[in-house]
Amino acid sequence: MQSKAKFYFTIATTSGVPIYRQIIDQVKTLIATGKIEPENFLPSVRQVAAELEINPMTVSKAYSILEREGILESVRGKGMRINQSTEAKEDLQEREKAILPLLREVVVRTSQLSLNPKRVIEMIESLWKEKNDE
Amino acid sequence: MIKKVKHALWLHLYDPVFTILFGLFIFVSVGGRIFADVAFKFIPRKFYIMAGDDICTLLIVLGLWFPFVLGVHIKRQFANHRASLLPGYRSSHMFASFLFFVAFLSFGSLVTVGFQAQYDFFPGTIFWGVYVSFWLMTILVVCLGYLSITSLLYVAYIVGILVLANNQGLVSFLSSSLTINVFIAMLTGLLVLLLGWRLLKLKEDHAEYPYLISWPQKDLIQNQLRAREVPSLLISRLKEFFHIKKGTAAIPPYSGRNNLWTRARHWDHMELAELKALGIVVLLILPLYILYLKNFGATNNFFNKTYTNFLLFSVAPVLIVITANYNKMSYWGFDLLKPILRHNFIGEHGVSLMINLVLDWAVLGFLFAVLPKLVLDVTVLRTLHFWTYLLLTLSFAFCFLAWISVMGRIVNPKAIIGHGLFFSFMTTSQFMHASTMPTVPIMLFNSFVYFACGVVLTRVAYRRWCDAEF
Amino acid sequence: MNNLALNIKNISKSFGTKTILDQLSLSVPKGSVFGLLGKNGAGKTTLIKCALGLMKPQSGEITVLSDNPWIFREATKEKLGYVPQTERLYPWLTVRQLIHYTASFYSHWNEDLVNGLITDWELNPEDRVGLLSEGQAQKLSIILALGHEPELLVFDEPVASLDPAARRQFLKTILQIVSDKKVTVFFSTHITSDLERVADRVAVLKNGKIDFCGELDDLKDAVKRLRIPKIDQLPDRMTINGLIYCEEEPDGLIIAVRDFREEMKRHIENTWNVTVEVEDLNLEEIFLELNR
Repeated sequence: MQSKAKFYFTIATTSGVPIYRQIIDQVKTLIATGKIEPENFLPSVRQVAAELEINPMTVSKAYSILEREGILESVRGKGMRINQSTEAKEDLQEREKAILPLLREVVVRTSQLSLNPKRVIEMIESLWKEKNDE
Repeated sequence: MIKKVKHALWLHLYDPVFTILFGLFIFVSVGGRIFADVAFKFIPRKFYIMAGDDICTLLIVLGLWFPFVLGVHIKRQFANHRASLLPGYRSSHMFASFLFFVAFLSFGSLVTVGFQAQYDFFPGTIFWGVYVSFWLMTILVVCLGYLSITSLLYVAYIVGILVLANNQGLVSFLSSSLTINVFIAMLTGLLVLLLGWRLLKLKEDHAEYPYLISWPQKDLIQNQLRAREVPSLLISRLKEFFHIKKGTAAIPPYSGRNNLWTRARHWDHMELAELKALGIVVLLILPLYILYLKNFGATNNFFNKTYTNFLLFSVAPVLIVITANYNKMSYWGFDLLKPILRHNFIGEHGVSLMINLVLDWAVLGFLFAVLPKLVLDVTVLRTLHFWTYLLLTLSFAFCFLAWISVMGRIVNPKAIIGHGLFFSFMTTSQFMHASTMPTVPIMLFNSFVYFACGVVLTRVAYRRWCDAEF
Repeated sequence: MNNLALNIKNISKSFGTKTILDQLSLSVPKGSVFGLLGKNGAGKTTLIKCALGLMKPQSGEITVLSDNPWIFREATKEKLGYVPQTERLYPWLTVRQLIHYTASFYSHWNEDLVNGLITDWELNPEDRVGLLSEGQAQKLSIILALGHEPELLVFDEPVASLDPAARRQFLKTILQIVSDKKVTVFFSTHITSDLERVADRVAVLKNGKIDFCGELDDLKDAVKRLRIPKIDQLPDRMTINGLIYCEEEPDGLIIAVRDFREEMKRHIENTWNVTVEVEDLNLEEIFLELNR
């Protein structure tokens, strides 16, 4: 059963980030957070465009790029399916680079909130434990 | 194609004013013809002549309004983007308008053709001359889009018609020779073709486009400004030529402490372009005009017989005032926000309209009543009858303006035309018979009645406008 | 040429001494939703009118749907829909009469579509056109242009008088049309948020020329604001390609560039030993930057 596109994506049309990039990022986030499992289908281009009221070509562009990156797979007659082997595709270095901005932000916020860095690391580790237990 | 023409025809007919005028015109022409042929035998001659005169006047009035409205329609249809972008638009609309034009001419001819031979007391020849001039004028109306240069050419139009219609010499001359008739017919045909060709190719770039944007339209202003460049240019050139001092550009400031007269004049500074243009043209033509009167005035009924051109002296000034001020009315909503009390505002505008009315009336009266008599027959100027008559026209004009002001909350030019028509009919019926000029006491009484009605209507209008929404 | 709905080559248009369009070129591929941006008086309306054959440029060549707009063939007109900035409608007709009148000119007219739109957009068919409010008149103009399901839709500020809800409805209708068929939509608007939602290509009109023409995403990727905080000593001079402007603040430099690339950021950081923060700009800000 196809879920509603609005459930998956939140698009800010007036953001500086192009819409297609927002969709790509959000698909990746959805996969990473487990909201969509591999082997499931994303809503169709037309459905996403109609519900979010954006140009279908933009959605199609995002899906094509994701397909090229190997994250999605086009299945004839059914739409875009999440690929199994998403993680292994990218180079380790690239992946570490991808998370760096987020980590930097954590560092900045830690200092802004005057928190103890060691304590923050403890918090991250306990979050990891939670995720692994799921 | 037929479907498109059908829809183009209906486009005209859905407009009630157009349909009423057209229907009336057909009815009067057909009815008039039947009357002329049949009633001849049954009715005493005197009444026959009177009725005949009535029908003629009716047809002339209708013949004035109908081409006017048709012209407005034609302009509306061609001066927009649809003409260029809808498939088959221009040809179908051209054809539909052409059909109406032909119908106008055919039904008009119904009364005129064939009359000359039989009934010599029916002014058939006059009709022939009048209608030819109508055709030419209609084409000019549409060509020049005079609605943008309102009073100037409008007055010329009406005056031209009336002068031509009453110039026995000219009309006989026109109707006598076959060559002349053929020439006029061919000239008309040529002008129609030229107009048609031009309309088929009309685009926004063309010089006459801004003139053809007909009123009232919401975005009129930009095109009107473009259209007004020509007369303003003319005026400034003329001013230079005559070394007329450049008027101070600054408009004297409005002050609530001035008297009503000064305050009312303040509003006029915005819209005097047309009147100025009219004034300068009149001054230029004056010597020619006097010459014409001296040499040919005697044979022209209009100037010679009487000064009884009621429409010209009573209705025309009102129409000039209204059309010249019509554009101003779209700004009233803004102007009300200025630090002026509402009833003062309305009062001042009312006074300003009255002042303009009297001015226009005086100019027309001078040009077409006083001046001809001055040249041709000075004794008339010493009769009480003459001046009472003029007084009558003024009081009627005043009453008519007040009536329109009351009706004018429907700020719709078509309604104004309709009312004008109604009023013209009502009143010309009193004055059509040159042989039965009313006496001085009757005219004085009528003047008084009109004036009193005018005062009452003015109060009503004043109160209505004070409560009006903009 | 056949994959271009609209192809404008080097057109120039002046009114008297004022030059509005100066050797302007623009191409609109079929099937795109194309937005034209420009300041007031930049010449957007003039450009559109020239493209539709309502005005004639003094030089240059225009091809619309493989036809010459000055002398459009009837067949081409059937595939064209135009909503002007200010519409002159016939005030004495009712909405229904006006629709039937317009429909009579086209060999194809989708009655259901039109009726649906009238209901959705809350127009009363029996209202006199002359008495409609500006917003209603604008909606009616749009409906009249959509009824014959044209291949090329040209809008000149179509939503200027519509409230946000009506604008959304309009955009929704446009998207529906675009997704179902191979329809090209070309519109000029001030409302950048609408363009961001539906347009895939934009062009910016400035000083009579096209300043940028291409995909909206590319524009968003190319025009960026860079912040260089004043942590260390800043060099006296910097050379940056595609600079729009540079402003010196007490806390650092703010630079707007129009041809941003990732290498540029690294290049600046390495060459002058500074840190560069890249700010993404939305279309409104891009428009403001390009029009400085």
